[in-house]
Amino acid sequence: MIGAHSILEDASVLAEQIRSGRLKASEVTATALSKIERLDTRLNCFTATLVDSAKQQAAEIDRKIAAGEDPGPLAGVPFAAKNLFDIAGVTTLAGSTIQAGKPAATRDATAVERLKGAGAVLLGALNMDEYAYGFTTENSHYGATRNPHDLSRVAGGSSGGSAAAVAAGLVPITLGSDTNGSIRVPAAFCGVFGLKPTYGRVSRAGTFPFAESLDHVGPFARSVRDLALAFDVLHGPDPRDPVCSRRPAEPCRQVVEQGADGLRIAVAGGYFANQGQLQVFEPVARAAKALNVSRTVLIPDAGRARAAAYVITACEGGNLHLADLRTRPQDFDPATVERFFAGALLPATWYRHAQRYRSIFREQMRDVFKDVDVRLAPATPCPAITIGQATITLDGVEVASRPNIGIFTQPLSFIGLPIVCAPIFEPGTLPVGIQIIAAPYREAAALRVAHELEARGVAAAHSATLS
Amino acid sequence: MINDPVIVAQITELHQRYEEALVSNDVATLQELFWDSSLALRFGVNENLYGAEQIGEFRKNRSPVDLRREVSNLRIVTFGDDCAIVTLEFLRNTQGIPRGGRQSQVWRKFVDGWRIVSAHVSFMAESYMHQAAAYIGLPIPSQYRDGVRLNLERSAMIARPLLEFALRDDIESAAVFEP
Repeated sequence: MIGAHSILEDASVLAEQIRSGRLKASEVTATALSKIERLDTRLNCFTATLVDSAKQQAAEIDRKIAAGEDPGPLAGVPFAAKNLFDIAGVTTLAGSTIQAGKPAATRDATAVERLKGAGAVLLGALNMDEYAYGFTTENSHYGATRNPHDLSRVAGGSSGGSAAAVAAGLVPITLGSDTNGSIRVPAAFCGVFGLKPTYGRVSRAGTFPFAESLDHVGPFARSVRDLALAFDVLHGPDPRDPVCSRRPAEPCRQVVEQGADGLRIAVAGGYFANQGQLQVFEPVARAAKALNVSRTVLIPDAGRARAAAYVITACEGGNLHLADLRTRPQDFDPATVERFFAGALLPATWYRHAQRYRSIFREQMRDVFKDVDVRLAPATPCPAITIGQATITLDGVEVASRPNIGIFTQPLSFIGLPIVCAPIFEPGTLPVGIQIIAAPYREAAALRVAHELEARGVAAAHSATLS
Repeated sequence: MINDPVIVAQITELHQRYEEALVSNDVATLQELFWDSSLALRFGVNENLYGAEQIGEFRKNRSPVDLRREVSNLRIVTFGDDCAIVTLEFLRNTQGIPRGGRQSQVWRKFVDGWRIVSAHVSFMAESYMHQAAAYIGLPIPSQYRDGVRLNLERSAMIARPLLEFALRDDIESAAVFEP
């Protein structure tokens, strides 16, 4: 059985046991590494494991504890990062073979640095869609990452390795990135919790960019408590990232325990209540019922917001890779190269229109948030598709799967709203998730609602059983 | 007689001379083979030239860069012993971007030999993809072109509702986006 309940699913408990000396970080690291070795040949989450440095890091945690020093709130907790995060001494692939020829990173990404600084132990780098341009992690160079709940299905993407590694219980915390849904989509498909923080809330320094206007980084975990713990360590100002907010960190870990009391919650209607398969709306209804929410709010013009995000992504992505498109197009993943070419050719006026429209949509959403704190919406229009599946049927219409998996996530990251993706599904069924959407910088509100749903037994990252 | 092999052979040889002169910008040979008359005509890619004088002026000022071309589908049709039509397709690289075109010439035999009396050269109508790629110096290998075109069409379809939204003049995008 993949991911049978194990100590590797709960970072908070692990850290507590390691800090109190009941468990040794070295033993936990060894257990995790052997589990990865045993299971990952079938899942394909990891593109690199860092056995020696992980063992050294764990030994150092154990030494600190023996010496009575504080190793941090994530003491000895194993974690791994999507392979677009810089890891000192390792070449940052960003899912490509083009980058594989580049020198190794000389310094850890800020997010990696912060988790390590809190005592977490880095075990390796995780698979993704090439240059993050995809929602499925079907990478032609490094293979598809498989969904631990059904190995014939995709893990979602682009942070597919990050979601699947947590779902399979290989590590309790991973790092991913989200430009149009790349944390929320794989979290929903793999049935784990994911947090896409407010744009600029968590430093992107030392990560390989995709579309810089929209790039976010954030954590995956098996519980809201762990998600909040990771977020607390990760967020806050960083001069290395020019868009990182100067706003001081606001720890959430304790606050989430308050639950949803006092928060004004509504279900997102209109755009977010159409174009999806039935089984993705059911969890939204279940969550609403559990939270005693009957209100629906319309999010005006979400379709336009999605269009604008699409245009910005295509233009920025195409421009970023222009030099390699000119000289070595054959080295790109066939799944991305034509989209990068097309993106490089889009008219500047489209791009400007999209960037200016961002100001309009932000204002509209600020209005909506005047009397609602949190909104609920489906994360994806369907559960995980099978590997190689080219189309999905939405509202009776067969559409290309790749550009449509992100229809519910894309309009929201467009203006950088903080969103928790919470898994809501029955054990033994294909996971689906909901987006818990808060106003900018109010990650705590989204996490509180997620915690309430978890406490009520509605949201849970059920263990994956091998089918 | 149509396509008398002797005449076809003559025209084939003359065409080869003209083609070599064209890609090496050998103005003297080009002038020699064109009818020296005010009735001669040459429709170029960007110019309509009437009479030998205008044609000669254009030849002298022509940029010798990127004249190489790959000829295909060369066809020669001769009528009797004094009239011939030469048509061909070509592929020419402009700053590394290949562009397809075609050319047609009417040859007439005078007392002092064969001359081109009328010619027309043009490029195929170019798609937005070709034009935009040429302007930014981005060659798109042929195996990707259909996919890139499809993606451009898909992008246009997705972008349409956005572009229909009228933005007020005072709406700016933020230098640093604060959500």
